[in-house]
Amino acid sequence: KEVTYSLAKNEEWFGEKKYNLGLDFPNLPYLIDGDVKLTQFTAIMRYLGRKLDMYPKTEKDLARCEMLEQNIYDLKTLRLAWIAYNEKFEERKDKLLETLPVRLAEVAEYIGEGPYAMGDKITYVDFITYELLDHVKLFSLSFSRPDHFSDPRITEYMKRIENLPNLKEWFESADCNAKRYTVHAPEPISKWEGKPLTAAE
Amino acid sequence: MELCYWALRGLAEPIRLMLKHSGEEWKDNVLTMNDAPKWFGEMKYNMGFDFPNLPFLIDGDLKITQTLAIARYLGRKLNMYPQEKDITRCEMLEQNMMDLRTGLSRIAYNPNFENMKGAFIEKLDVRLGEVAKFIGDGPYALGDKITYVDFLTYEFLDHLKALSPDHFKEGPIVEYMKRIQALPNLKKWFDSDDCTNKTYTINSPMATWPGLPNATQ
Repeated sequence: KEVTYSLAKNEEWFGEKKYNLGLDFPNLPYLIDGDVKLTQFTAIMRYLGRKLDMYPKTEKDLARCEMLEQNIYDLKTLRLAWIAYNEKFEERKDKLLETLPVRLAEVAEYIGEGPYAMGDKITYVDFITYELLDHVKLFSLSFSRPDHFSDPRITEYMKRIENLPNLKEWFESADCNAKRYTVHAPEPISKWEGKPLTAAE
Repeated sequence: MELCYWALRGLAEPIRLMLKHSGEEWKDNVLTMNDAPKWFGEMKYNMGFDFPNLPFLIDGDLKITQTLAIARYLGRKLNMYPQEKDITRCEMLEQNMMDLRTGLSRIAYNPNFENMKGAFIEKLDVRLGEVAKFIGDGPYALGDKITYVDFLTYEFLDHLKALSPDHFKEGPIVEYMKRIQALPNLKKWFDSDDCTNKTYTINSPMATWPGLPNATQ
């Protein structure tokens, strides 16, 4: 079940719900699964990974998986979101655009032939990686850098995720979030919201 | 085992504390500002890392970067990892402490730090209250067993204490920090003349708020 809170009417979250749901560290996103009440995106993803059998099995795989997980967090939160919510976004975006090819090449090298980030078996880190790559793709395309997404290891990987049966159906549906939601909070809360591109773009 | 990071506390100090507590043999490879050209020029892209960065850990043929990946790997290796029933809570605390630390970095490296710090410190009432409630009587963050998340929690709380000492006068968090400081290997370390808390900054020395050593006394 998905509960969404509207940013325009955020009193529902901040006023009523945030501190009354029995969460240790009230925040969004949250996940409630029976007695388990979780916040923190990474904690939620790992929990679901273990529960839904999408978790690495060996120690070596787990260490490598967590390194990818954290590197993606780095790119998402400490690079992209950091500048997107910064009043100096215009000055900083060019520097990020310059460094992206190296960071993306590292991810491409890690994934290699795949098919998934950890090899043959899909894990929770694939969904974190796919979604971040899509944000970065939108960012790069928005600032006329389609060349960032020319490495077939990345483009083929993204296609494989997009073609997973349930996801293919989702992405093609009219309701798909990627068609309606922005990457970040709408401007002016963020300085780059990441609006979905039209088919023409 | 070799851990490498800059000569400051920052993100790697929790890992250094965990290694000291464990009693394992390890090399504390410290890079000073003068070593920056060596790191960026020679080392960073030539050591076989998937995602070159600092801190890094080398353990046999395993080469790991990313603070939390390193801390969790060592937690599993050194028997400081939660039992299955506690894993989810542990990870939630781990992420919450990283959140707080990132929030601190966000203002500390911002030229507008002086104007931003008030709002951040105000929010600590609630955020630290949540951590205090989570830890309760402890003795450790998850209860009876010390885990990797204790070192992250302790060290990042100490960084926050340097920014806002008023939040650390008494209560469950203060008592918790005393218990971590009293762990035998750590007590020896903190009491020693060489303890780098006397010389290392909390953030980069270049930050708007570096977190100078005397601020933590």
